[in-house]
Amino acid sequence: MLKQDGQSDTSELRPEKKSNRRFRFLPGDAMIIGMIVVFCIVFWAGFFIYQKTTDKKVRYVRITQDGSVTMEIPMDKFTEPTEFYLPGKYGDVVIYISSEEVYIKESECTDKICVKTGALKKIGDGAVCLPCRVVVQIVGGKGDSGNVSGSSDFGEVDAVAK
Amino acid sequence: MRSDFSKKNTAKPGPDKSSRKRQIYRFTKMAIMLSLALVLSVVEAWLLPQGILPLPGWKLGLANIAILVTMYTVGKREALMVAVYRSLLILAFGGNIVGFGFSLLGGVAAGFTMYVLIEIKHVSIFGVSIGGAAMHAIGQIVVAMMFAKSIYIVSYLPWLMVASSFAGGIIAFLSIPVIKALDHIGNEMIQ
Repeated sequence: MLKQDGQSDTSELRPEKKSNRRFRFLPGDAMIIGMIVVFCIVFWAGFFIYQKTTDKKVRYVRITQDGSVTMEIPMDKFTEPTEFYLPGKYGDVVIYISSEEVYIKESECTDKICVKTGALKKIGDGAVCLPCRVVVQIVGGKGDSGNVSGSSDFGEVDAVAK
Repeated sequence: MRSDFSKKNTAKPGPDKSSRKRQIYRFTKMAIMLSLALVLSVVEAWLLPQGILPLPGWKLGLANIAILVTMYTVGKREALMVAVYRSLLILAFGGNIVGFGFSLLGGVAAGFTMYVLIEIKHVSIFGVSIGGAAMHAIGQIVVAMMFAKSIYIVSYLPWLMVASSFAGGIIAFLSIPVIKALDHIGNEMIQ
C-alpha cells in the first residue's frame, strides 16, 4: 500500500483500498487461464473417449421432459419424417424427427435457444429447452431391435420406449 | 457538551463523523453501480440479443463491468451484494425464473471466486475477471442441470467455459479505464 504521510485527512477518508490494483497482465493470470484450458481439455477428452470406447452404433433419439424420459426410439425407424407435438406443464414443443436428423421445430419458450440449436445428427448431440424443461438428445444404443436396454449414456434412467 | 450528546446517540461506540460520511459514500456508490449494472444488462439485451458467438447461454455480460468496478472501487462485499440484487431486480422487472437461476447462482459463484482472487498478489484484474467468468459458467451449467433434470448438459461445459473466459477478459479490459476514472472523481467528491 502506498503510504502518504503528508495528506492526513483526505487519505484517511478515501474509502477504496488501493493495494489490490493490478491492471497489468501477471503470471498468475496465465496460470488461471492455463488451469481453465487444462480443465476443459481433460473434461472434453474424457467425454470424447468415453463415447468412443463404448461401442454404440445405432442412434436413438431420446426425449426427456422434466427429468423423465418420455420417448426413446431408434432414429432408423423414422423412414418418413415425423413431427411430434409434445405438450408439457411448462410449455409445448414440436420436435421433428427423420432418419437423418432431429431438431426442435417450435417451442413455446421465450428465448428460442432450442430452435436455434439446429439439427442434431451425431451421437452426443443434443438440444435443450430450459423454459419447457425438455432435453432432446441422440444417444447410442447397441441392439437393432426396439430394445433400449443399455442405451443410457450415464446409467441414470431405465428408459421406457413408447 | 454537544459532543457528549452526539456520542450517546450513536449506535456503535466507534463511528465519528468521517466514518459515517464514508459509509454513506460507499452506500451511494454501490447504489449507483447497481443501477448501472441494471442499465447495462438492458442495453446489452438491445445491442446484442444473440450474443456474438452462436453458443446458447453465452453472452458478453456487460453488467459485469459494473460488478468488477464495484469490487475495485467500493469493496468486495458490496460487489457481491450488487450481483445478488441485480438478479433479484431483473426477476422483478419481468425476467423468467430460469434466467434468474442462471444469474443468481452464476453471479454468486463468480462473486466468491473474484472475492478470493482479488487478494492474491500475482493475479491482476484479468485473472480476477477470467476466473470469475469460468466459475460463472460452472454455476450456469449446474442451474441448467437442475432445471432440465438431465446430466447430459454437462458435456456443454468446456465450450461454455472457454467462451465465458474470453468474455471475462474483454470485461476486464473494459473495466480498467472506468476504475481509473472513478479514482479521480471519488477524491474530489469526498473532500
